[in-house]
Amino acid sequence: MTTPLSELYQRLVIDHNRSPHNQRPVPGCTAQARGHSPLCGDDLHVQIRLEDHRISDLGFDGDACAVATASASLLTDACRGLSTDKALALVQAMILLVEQGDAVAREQAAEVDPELALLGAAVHAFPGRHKCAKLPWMTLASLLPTEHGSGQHGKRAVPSDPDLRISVGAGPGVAGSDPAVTEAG
Amino acid sequence: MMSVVEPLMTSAAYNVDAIRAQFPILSQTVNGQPLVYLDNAASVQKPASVIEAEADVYRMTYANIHRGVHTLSQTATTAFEAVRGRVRDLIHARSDKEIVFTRGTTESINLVANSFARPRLRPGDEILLTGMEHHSNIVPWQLVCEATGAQLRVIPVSDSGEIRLEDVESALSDRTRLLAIIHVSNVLGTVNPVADVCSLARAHGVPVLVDAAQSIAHQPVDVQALGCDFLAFSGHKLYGPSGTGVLWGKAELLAGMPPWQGGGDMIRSVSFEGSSYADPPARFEAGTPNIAGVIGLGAAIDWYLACGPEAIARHEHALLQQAEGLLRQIPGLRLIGEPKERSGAISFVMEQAHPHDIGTILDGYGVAVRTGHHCAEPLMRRFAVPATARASFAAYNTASEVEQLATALDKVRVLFA
Repeated sequence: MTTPLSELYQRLVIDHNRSPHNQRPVPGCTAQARGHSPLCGDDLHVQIRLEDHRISDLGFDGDACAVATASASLLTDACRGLSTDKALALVQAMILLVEQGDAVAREQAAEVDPELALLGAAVHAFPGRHKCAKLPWMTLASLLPTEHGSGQHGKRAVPSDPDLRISVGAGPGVAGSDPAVTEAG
Repeated sequence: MMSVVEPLMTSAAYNVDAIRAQFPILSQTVNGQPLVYLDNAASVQKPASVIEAEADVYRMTYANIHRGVHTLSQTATTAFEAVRGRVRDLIHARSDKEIVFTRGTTESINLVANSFARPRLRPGDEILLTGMEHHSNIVPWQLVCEATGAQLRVIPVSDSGEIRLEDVESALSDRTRLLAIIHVSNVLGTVNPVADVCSLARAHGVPVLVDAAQSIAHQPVDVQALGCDFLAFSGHKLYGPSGTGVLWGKAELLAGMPPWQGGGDMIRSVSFEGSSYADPPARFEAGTPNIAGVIGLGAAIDWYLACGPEAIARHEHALLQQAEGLLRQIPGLRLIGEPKERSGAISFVMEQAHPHDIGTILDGYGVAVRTGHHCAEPLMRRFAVPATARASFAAYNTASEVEQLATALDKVRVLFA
């Protein structure tokens, strides 16, 4: 097996895929969103509880590939307790790391959790899998208020991806079936 | 047709090494491993003769076709028009005039939807499809239904991945205006009983469009034997250039169809008061076509016929049987669709790994398969899977490549166990 592949799968993805962290409903959840990648079938549901501009708890559920599941598992560990501003900055760093292999973004991620930096850098070597790794982060971003307004209505500083459908307010189920859903992907 | 074949006969008559040698792309390595290309249902690779034929057009004979009096234009026109005859022979059409060049299967189906179906559709009319259609044989019909108030009716797919003729019979009614059916499923590999479906439809006076994208390079396709009214296929799945395709239609139907796109080449005369239109096939070929691509398609048909559609079908059938046998032995692997008659493709899921993970890991071993919904989301929902992994075969694949697929899949299983 080639080195990048073992890096991606053996060191990180498999462990977090076997027993993902925080794969559970969030008590007192204040916001939730569904992230769906119709092309590959990844389907994740992220719940958060916001208290005083801080993510006091978050969890996820869904049916997704090992890369998306591991990314979601690491996300929930890394973001619990973060202020919404810090969480948004981490989302931006992770997307930059995955898409461009950005060195500064890698350091930012490593400061929060070295495993995040490893995952982001490993996935960067597989362009076909960038969307899988980004999906949970973009789903979380849709729930975070920004300085311009709330996550649901304000301008978001996270780039959108036309292949990922992020539905704010959506629980598990079929994206777009709820008329109240905001397509934010 | 395939079930009567004896695979043992193939190895002696069929020289796969000699065939492989004609495909320059197959000699490369991917991730340090020899390329095992099993994504043929998405697109097949091209033999050197096709690559050279297309390049030679640009090197030696290229000019715009039709109406030119200079030598190059006449040479290019002759070469381009000659390909209609090759397609006619390939699918047993009655005339060159029944062969319309398009960009591919999708454009061919859109042409029929807009030019043939749309003017005939009234509110409450029905277009009949099967539940295993590719998006390209669903969405064009949806669009014309939305515009006319007609509706889609869908023939269900069984657990084995097949349709039942009794369901076709009961779905046909005096509201049915057209039946559109995929000849061979790009996901399941199911060979649909198209000749039987056509004869049922004919009894109700319903025209049939056959999507032959997945059958055209894998078995003899004869529009007379099928008894259909329209047949669509893509050049790129027939060892030819991408961006080429064919719509075959019965001459009497094409003659009654209005133009679909307007432009140069499709007119008889133009004035600002009104224009009159050329006869088929030119009526449906507005604008400068993919000249070099179509000439390349001609070379692809020559190559395919020289190899022998029957011999290729036997060879691929043996590979499919081998693949089915080996894949069934992998614990946790489940085949999606187990049709009695299969051609070209085999789809599966694994308990241990999501299809995308399978695809990435196989790629690490140089094995190219497709993962995802294969442009057939309704079929994914029918089998309650978000996606599948699919291996699909062509004339140049070998038994050893099938073994490499199975070995790599077993490594996926071990990695995720």
